[in-house]
Amino acid sequence: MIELQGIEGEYFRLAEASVPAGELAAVVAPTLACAREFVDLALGRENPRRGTVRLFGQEVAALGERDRLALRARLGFAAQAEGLIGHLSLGENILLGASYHRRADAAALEDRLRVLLGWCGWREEEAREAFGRLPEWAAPFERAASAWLRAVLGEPELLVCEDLLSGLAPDRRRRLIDGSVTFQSENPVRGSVFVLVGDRLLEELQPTSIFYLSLRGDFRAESSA
Amino acid sequence: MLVVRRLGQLGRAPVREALWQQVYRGALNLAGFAALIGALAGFFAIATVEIGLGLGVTVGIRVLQVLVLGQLAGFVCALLLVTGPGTAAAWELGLMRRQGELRTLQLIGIAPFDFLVLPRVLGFGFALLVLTFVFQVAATLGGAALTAVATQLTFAQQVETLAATVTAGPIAASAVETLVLGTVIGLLVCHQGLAGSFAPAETPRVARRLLGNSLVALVVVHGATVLLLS
Repeated sequence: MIELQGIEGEYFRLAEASVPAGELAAVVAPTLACAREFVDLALGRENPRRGTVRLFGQEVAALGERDRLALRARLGFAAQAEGLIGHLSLGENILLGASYHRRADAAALEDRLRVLLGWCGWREEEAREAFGRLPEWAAPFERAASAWLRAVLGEPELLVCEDLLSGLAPDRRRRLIDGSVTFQSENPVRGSVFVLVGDRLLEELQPTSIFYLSLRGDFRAESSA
Repeated sequence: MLVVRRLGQLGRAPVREALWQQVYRGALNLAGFAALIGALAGFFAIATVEIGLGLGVTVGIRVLQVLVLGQLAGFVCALLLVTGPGTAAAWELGLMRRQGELRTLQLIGIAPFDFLVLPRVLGFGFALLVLTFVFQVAATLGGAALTAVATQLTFAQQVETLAATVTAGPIAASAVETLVLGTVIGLLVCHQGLAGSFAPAETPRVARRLLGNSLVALVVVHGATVLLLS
């Protein structure tokens, strides 16, 4: 689903990484700036200084902006910090992607949302109350869960989470990880990438593959299955 | 041109919702205020000609038509729109840019132009159209009602005089002019918010620049309309 080869960005280097369907991969970044740059390069928002990026089998560098957007519409992106639109309520944020990309009608989205709330262990009453809040006034879990719900509500082929779990209480982290695992196991062609800042959450996440980003000038990119 | 090419994006529910929000913020929130100013402007125009100059109802209504409905309505409403919702929208876009929300939109496959610029540009166009219409109606009816209270002219007399001289051409021209001017203001707002420098401390400077650019746009659009119609 994502293939990166010989990538050199502004902050990091990565020799090789590949996330096929069915994988739950972790990308360990040394800093948040590296994590964000990785996401920008992997999802074709920026071009790397060197190397090639293939997303869903297409070389991103060869695509125009509209084609890149269309490609990104096939994936779900979730980030806890700066991952939501500030002037929209949490509820509006959750529906934004699926509604914009016309994934399903309102009733079907509502049914699906109820299922997803169960997967991430967010009590429906509690969630409905939070949905009216702006992200600025929401708790970290509410923001993270809303970003996650928005990402998975669109039934993406690939889920990309950028520093989604940091700062959350362990039980809340567990809920989002469990939700992601359930989401992925629902359909074997789906894949997930968790971009982490630091490696302390690796044990909790138990990814099927891990990729480490190296700071530029410290070339020791490695991957292990 | 890009706005016209992307009109199809209005088929998407969140874009339509953003457009409606912009019209609501721009026009409906200010409609009462515009109506009040309109009624007072209409009253002062007719009453000044009637009481101050003693030139009669026909001249009074003509002055109302040419100056208040034709010139002042668009000008006042454009100023209301720029200083209130315009500055707020430029600030909102600047903040979104600063907080990385444009990046988020791109990463979820949404073009910031379609979701942020298109509804704002069209929204400001419709908002100015609605606001100017409210101002003009209030100037006509409210002005006539207030004049009827303060002078010997009757409400019916004034409305009949206006109805006898009004034609569809100037009304259509005024509508097109305000629609164009509103979209130009929307473009200026989006440019200021997305391309201009942004920092909280720079808000007064941003507001001043937006107002200055909008006034220039007002003169240019109005001048172009006059030239086209002459």
